[in-house]
Amino acid sequence: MSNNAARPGPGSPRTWRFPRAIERVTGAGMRVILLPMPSRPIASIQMLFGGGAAGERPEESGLSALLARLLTEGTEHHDADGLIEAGELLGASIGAESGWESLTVGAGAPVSRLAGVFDLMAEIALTPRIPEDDVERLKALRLAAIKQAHASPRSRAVDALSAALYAPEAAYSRPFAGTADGVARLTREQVVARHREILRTGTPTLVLAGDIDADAAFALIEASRLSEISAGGGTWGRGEPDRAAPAPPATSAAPLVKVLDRPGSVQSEIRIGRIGRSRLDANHHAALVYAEIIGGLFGSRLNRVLREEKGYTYGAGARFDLRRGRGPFMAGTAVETGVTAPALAEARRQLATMQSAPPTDEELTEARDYLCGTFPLRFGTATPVASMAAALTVLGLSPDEPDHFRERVAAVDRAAIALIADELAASAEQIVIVGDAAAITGPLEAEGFTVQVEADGAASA
Amino acid sequence: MTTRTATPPLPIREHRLANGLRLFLIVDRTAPIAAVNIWYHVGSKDERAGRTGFAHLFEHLMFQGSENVTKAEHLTLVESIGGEGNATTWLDRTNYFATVPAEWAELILWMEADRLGTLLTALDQANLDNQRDVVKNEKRSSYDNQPYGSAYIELFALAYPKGHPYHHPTIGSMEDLDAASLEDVRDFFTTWYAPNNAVLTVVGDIDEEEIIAAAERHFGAIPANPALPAHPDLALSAPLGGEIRKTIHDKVPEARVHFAFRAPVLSAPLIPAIEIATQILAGGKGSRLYRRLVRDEQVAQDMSLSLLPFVGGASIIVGAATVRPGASNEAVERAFVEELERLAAEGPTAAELERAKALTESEELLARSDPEELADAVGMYATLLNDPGRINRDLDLALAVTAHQVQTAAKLFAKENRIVLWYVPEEKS
Repeated sequence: MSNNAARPGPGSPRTWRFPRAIERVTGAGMRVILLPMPSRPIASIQMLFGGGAAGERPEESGLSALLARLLTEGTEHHDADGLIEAGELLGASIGAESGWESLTVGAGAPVSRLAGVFDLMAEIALTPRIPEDDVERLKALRLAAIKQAHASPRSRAVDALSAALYAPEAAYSRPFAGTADGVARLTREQVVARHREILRTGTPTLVLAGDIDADAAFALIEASRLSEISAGGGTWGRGEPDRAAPAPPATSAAPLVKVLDRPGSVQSEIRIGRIGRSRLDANHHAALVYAEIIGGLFGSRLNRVLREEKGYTYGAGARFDLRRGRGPFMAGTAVETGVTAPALAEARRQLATMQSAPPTDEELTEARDYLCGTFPLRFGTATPVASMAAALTVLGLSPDEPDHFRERVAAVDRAAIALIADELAASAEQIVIVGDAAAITGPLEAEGFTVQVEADGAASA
Repeated sequence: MTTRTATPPLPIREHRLANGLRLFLIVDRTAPIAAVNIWYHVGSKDERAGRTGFAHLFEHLMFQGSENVTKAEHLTLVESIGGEGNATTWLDRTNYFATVPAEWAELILWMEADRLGTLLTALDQANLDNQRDVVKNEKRSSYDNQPYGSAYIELFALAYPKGHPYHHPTIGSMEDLDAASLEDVRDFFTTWYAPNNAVLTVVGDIDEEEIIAAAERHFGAIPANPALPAHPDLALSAPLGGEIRKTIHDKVPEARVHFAFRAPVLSAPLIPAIEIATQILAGGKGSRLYRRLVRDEQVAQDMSLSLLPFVGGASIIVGAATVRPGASNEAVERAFVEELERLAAEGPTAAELERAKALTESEELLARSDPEELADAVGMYATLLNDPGRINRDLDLALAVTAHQVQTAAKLFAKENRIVLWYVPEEKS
């Protein structure tokens, strides 16, 4: 196969632009962002309100998530089953969810049935019943989900690392859907009050992507009950507690490892973290390139060594969770119990190389090309397009921002990476491992770590 | 009345190479991307005794280099051109796929051809040992160290008799993974990885003639395997013949009830009705099981029911519900089974059937908008049914399902065709 030795290069490149955003404002003051996408018959509609988990105090942890779940449990016109049936009849899946910064009523639906979907979405946002029985039922379901998460090594490790990185009063120290303590205390009065608050605070925004005609779609919105949704006073997120206050630094000289005991575990779930960057940072593109090089690409430093050289794991990775405030940078892997100590030492060595051994030209090029090339791959259907526009809206950024993503990433150089590395190194390192404490404590101590063991079940409700 | 959105059939261009490789092309210019997908008709059903998990281990070795691609370079190359790629192994097949900027489609064809033509030139013991360790850690991560992680392994072992090719799990056993040798790799590759056992599908912003020419250029010289063996006999000698029960005491946060039922094979006319039946029973918060178990009786935290189609013997329908604290496995099982049996006895209401079809239509249209899903579906139907055009009939078949057919499908849930698996939390010491 001698003719096979020459690798084909690229054919003629295609151009790409994020769908054009057309902005309108309804008579009542709701902002509307329309993103026409020809030949995409299933539209995505996302209506955003303020009121995400980032604004919650510890004692109301989980309030926004609970409200979001309750919105679809019935309205003044439909009971819960009737609401779902009305949506299904339109071929629509309608739901509500909360995030760090917003609460979203969303739907995926055929463009031919938007009028009916708009009315249902308005009903859900404006007139939820929030029955007392459902408050208690959904609290119980959330508590059960927290228990399930605790039993999964991955989510237990991520939750524990978040709690270790941030001060207890910081929202980012908690899962955005709430802690067991917080959820158990929530009342219907709080939920109803939060609902009133999100309706009268800031400017709700509706994002619609799909095979639509912008004028016709806007006319449908104005003719539907969505026209009743009005802008409130003030802006989202004013006067909220600090999202990202760091935890006080550890005092021990040796690196501290928090081991969350999971007796009999055949693997150790390792997480190493620091407080990272904000999505609003001008240099967040450099953070993305940095993360690809250390733990994003298949050939990243962590995966290459821990998986392809040592065979310690099925995979190792690292990423920045870019939020409005400084979200976490987390590196992680699950390794066979017997190699926990050397794997942790190796992972920390690789993480440290980002300061001691700047990225090579090959690493930089590969990371930038990967990010630039895969960016358009994500936007083939309406849902990710609407989600991207919604995420930008929530952060106060322009829906045109995706058009500049590739040039900004392409401009990331070694100096920008070094800045990210230095800033990251300046925030305190936290290490957690979910694993069999009896089996791994000795080897970890022999490797020079200080080990603090938390018994199994200590964090459960 | 379901208002049909007009959906013209997708034109599928077919080209067959002289060595038997089948190539399918669909042009979709919505996004500047190409999805390249290759299905090999070999899966865990083709493993021999003592070598379970081998088809999947082999899939990993396909990323360890070939004559013109170095170890672990495959995915690095895909990523460096701005693409994403991966592979999966299942009972009937193994698929390799990448979605890339459209101008790079030929490079993916070249890489696929290089490993199909020359994999063994790069194979060595160190690569095998390394990937064996990686796969063993995959098994630990995805099965051994997860609550309820053994459920599917148990259900398949109960649904298909010992010795049947679907009895053992795709991930295999640690002992069998340890036993895999370089000789096994060579045998497996030489036997199954041949152009006449492969289907290549490319969907996206492509020039059909260019892709056909590139496929001829890169795959054309790879010889067919004239002695491609028959797949093992998948026939089941007898029906399940009665309810099968098992209870597992394990470290799980809450009790859970799992179900499995044998079902007709992928080519069977009843398949679309089974999909509609599972939609009515477990498709979201409007479904019968969610309403009864989660909302009304509040005995379960969650519920699910779905069809896993296979080509021979029997497909399987799997279901599960996690027990709420304070409720019992018995109560969850009773309510779950009553809903299944009620559908078999009474059939769906007209309104339910209409809603299920409306949702199915939306899901189908969405799936068709995604080049990656489309390429995979064509590969599946071409490989397993020799009928790539089936993707253009799926929606019509779903919309034509009658209430009576749904009722017939629901009869699969009868007790004599039922497997019930309980997880019970271990007593804390």
